[in-house]
Amino acid sequence: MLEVKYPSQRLAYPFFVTMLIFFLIQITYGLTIALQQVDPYFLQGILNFNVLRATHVNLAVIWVLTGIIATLFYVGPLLANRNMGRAWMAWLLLVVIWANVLWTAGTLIFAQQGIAGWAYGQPWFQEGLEYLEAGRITDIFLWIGFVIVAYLILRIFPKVREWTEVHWALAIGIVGLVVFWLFGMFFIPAIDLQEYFRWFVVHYWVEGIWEILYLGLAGFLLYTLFGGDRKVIGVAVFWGVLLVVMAGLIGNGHHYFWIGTPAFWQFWGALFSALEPLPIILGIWHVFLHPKQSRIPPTNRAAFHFIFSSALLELVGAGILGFTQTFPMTNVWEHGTWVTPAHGHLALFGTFGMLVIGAAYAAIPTIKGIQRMDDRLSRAAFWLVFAGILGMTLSFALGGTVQVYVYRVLAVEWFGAVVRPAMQLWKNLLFVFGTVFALGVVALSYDLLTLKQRAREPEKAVVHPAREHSAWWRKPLSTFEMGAWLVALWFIGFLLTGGLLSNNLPSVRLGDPTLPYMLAGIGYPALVIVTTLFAVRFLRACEAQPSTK
Amino acid sequence: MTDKEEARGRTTGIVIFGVLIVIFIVISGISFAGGRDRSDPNTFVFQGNSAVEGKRVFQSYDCMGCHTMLGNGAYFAPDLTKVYEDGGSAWLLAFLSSPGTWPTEQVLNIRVQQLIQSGDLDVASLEEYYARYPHVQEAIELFAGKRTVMPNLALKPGEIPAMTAFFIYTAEINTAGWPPARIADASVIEKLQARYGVLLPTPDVQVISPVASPVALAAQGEQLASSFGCLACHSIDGSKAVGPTWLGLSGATVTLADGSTVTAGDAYLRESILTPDLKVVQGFSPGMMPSYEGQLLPADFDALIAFISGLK
Repeated sequence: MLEVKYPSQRLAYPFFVTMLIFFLIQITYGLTIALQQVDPYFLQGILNFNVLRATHVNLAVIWVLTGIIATLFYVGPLLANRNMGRAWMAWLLLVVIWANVLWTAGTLIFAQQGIAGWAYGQPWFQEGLEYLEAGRITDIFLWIGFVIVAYLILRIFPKVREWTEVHWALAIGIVGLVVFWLFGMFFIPAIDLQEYFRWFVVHYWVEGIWEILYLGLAGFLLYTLFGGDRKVIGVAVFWGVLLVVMAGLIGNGHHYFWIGTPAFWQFWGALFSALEPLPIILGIWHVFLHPKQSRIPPTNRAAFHFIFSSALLELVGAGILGFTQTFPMTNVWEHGTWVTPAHGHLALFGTFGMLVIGAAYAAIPTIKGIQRMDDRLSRAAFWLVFAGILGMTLSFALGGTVQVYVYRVLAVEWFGAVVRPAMQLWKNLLFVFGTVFALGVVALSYDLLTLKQRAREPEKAVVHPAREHSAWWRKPLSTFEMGAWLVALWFIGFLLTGGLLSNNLPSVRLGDPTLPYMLAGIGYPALVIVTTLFAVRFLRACEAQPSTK
Repeated sequence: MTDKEEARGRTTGIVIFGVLIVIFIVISGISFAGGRDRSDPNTFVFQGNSAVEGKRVFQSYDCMGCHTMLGNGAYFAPDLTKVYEDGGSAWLLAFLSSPGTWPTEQVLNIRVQQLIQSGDLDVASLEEYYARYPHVQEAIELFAGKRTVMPNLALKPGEIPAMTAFFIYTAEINTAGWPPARIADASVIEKLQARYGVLLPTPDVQVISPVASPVALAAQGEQLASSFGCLACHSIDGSKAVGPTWLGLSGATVTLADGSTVTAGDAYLRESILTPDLKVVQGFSPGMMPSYEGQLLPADFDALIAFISGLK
């Protein structure tokens, strides 16, 4: 049962609120840079694109991390069967996070004057490397924050020999945050070595540590929220984590293809990173398909929408879209184009963003003592962000397809004069879908912050008998159907991979984009449509289950 | 699967992972071990500035926030890995001095001549430079004097040669064949460019039209100010740019960097065009404006000063 058993769990609330505020600010920055994509002179000289983008990217990481911390504070005591205590440290952490965000948002602007604050060989204000734009002061205080989280949670955990798989996943994840962050705290003169270590932070965080935390938290939320089988979840978490690290360790090499390291990384990196979707597929399959799980009535529909879609969008955004670009023969064409953020946005928000929002919907009603939530706004907000992020993915992907042909295949040099207008339609669409997404974020933020005021009267516990639904699409998914959906998604994935591979053909390279344009033009919309249909089908089928609410 | 089989499977899995860690460490070690053909940024120097210093500048301005380097960064501006290979040092100096405006041929030529004189460039003329860097010739023909998409960053003296050293270093890196070379015919490219109005002028069309009939001296001066790139740094509407505004400059009392004052009359203006670092206005950096010695005819000076004087 997901409930507030220990007072310290309430500390999650201010962190969830902070998460939402940072999220709202982050998407404001996102809409602004989307406008600059439409008109590059917008705010030029006042707030340049690189400054706004750096803030957008760093805020994304911070709001998700804040959500993870909130979830850890809520879940930790339940796992430990102890109150967390040391509340003052949690409040100190919150102050540190806020101060850090405000400081960083300000110092990132120094890039416009070329001020990094070099002293003792380190850039203290900002350091201008992708994802690691923030300077040492930010790095150090964030690191202190991670140490505080690790201390607070691990302190109350039971003895190691009593740990379940979920304990292990969270412990490895929390310690991993502390350790891998350190790799970004050095100025390295040689750019190949700098890139090598920069990806230690970026890759080993998102395709390593964050995924491990995800498995632990999602596993825990599923079995407490929906009464799943602890042993089944435990097996899924163990193998999920092991497969993540086995694939992801050498899979990091898919960032080392073209950076000046030896060519053998193309073999090692491609081989292992191609396996990275495996834990995701097995996770979805195992957890949702196990006979006991597939008939779980989702008693918290809002949380279930977001947690389910985080697994689905991880499969599509991280698994499938990542797969298409993980091979040297496809990567050589798409590297350095919009095809990358097509994968990046869907993977990062789809997996981690959706999860922490789902966790907020799971935790906040219990903290606020709401017995029956009005979940209508949450579902409207859900579909808005779901459609928004898929629409943004489509815009990035199709704009990227044009960019691959014009800028990479034909190697047209005039970026502003030719490549930019060639992509203009997709830049405009990105802003449109970004707005849809933003509306959803505003809706869910308002929803989460006003849940208490709109709580419904708790019904008497009435058992609704399982209605005999004639409609096939309300019946639970059979193994066959589940398999069919996954096969369909991966078939489209192979179409998209084929589209990128086709750029190798001499006919394309000599000036005929028909094949890559056709495969992408069919594949990406198909992917968006099938993903949406699958989500609708799965969620409707789960909602049709017998329930006591 | 029984619990025992599960436990055995788990142990096997963890052991395999241990083996993978060893493999990763070994191939990482090989990647950066001595004896490999790796470029050392400390060995790349341009005009006394090292590539390491240039990398610091590159990071200080967060260039990666719009551009890509080795394909990584933001996708808002071109990849810069091979920019030195495509443009050369004179182009970098010309462009980065005022990134908000595409350099004109005159501005580029000034840099070419400066580098030839200092021994940093082994070509004999602008024509030879064009022959070595056809990308540059095309850029001049297509965009000279027009606004770029890049913000007009006020790079400081020393930062530009340092970044040049950095770009010389990155161009040398073995990127395993990335980005792939173009194999399409030039006609395919021309057709695509034409679609977006980017047309190379035909040889008959004159890029810079000569002044045919007698034009007012000031109007001539305005044309010179544009083609020599003055307007890239000096505004005529009072706004502060890389250099002092020309609005109201003629005849005004200006404060210099050392605190003394001077009247900006004709003599001061002529002197500043020939030896710009002699009397720098307070609030502006020396070493930014190139000297136009040998580039302007006496009549050109008269025209420019007539234009500046008229800006009240």
